[in-house]
Amino acid sequence: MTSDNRSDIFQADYKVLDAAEKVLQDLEGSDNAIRPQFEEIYLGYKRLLRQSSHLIIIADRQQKRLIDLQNDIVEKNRELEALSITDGMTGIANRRRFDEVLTQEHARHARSGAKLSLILLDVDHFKAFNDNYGHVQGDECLRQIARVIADCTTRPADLAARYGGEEFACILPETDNNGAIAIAEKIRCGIIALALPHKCSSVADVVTVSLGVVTAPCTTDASAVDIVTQVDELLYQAKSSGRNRVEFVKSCCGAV
Amino acid sequence: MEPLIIESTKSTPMVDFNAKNRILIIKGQSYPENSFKFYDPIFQWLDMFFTTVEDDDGLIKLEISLPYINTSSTKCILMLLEKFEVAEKNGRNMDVTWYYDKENENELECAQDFKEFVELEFNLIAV
Repeated sequence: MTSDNRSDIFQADYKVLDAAEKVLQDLEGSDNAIRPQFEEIYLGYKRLLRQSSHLIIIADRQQKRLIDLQNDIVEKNRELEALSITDGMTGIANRRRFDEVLTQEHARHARSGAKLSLILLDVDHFKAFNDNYGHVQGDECLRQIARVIADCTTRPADLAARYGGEEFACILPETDNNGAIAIAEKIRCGIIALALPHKCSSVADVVTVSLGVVTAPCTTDASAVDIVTQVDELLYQAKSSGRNRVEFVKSCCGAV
Repeated sequence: MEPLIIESTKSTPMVDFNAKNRILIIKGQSYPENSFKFYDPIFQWLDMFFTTVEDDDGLIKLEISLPYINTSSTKCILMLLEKFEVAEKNGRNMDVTWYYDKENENELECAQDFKEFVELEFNLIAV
């Protein structure tokens, strides 16, 4: 059998065929009774070898297609996973991601004793903004606010998330109260600096936000949910005491 | 000759070989643990069919659809198609159609691979 490629995996098989061919040639013209039988075996082997080489090519291609498909699926899963934790409108983390990270960070900080801070913020008079400027403008406003919050939380472990409608939250690992308040102020000022007109606001001519900041005590028996409840109360205080401000716990035992 | 009818399972195709109307259908995924055990009765039926069928130029139709096929099943399908090659060389009138899912590129490529290596005319039809 003439093989196109003597270096392929069937090299040894072709050698067997070559040897058989040589025997057939040597027997050419002789009246050796074994020759027809031998030739039949030779042809049978040749046919099966051809089939096996086809089988291997087909199976290899099939396997390659399946591996490619599997890689595609892995890639698609990654994309889906990223989508499932991202807020579609603003592009920052969504509520699901926020809850997930807060639970993880809370457990990690409870072990290490480091300080975990949380900021919760709400756009002032956002309903009036929407009613006055329309939902397209409202969405654009939220996108710009999200950008400011993301830009203010740039350390690798920081997380900026859209918490709900016009509420946003930041998880600030290993950050003390003063550090967190500084970031909250930076966010508040950054949003004012956007200078998004808001003529229906009772606070200013531009879009403003109210923020609550909380720092979880180092040794805490409290759950992640308790911190959210606490920061929610501070946000409420910021709202009820005039908006466009940062509220935090003015601890009698000194800043945590 | 009795028809050969095998219900499909998760890992084996449906088989409906009818000697009377000469339509032989094999359809479904094929990845049995023991492919030869599954395909051997099919080979035996085919050998019997080709030796007993009247040679009156009647068309023999083979319809294949194999969305997924493992390696040992590939060997069996090559063996099966070889029987059709031989039958065609012996003057039988054959019509082989390989159906593939138009949404599934892999299925088409797999069918094309068989077409490349089997000396048998066959139609590839998207469904």
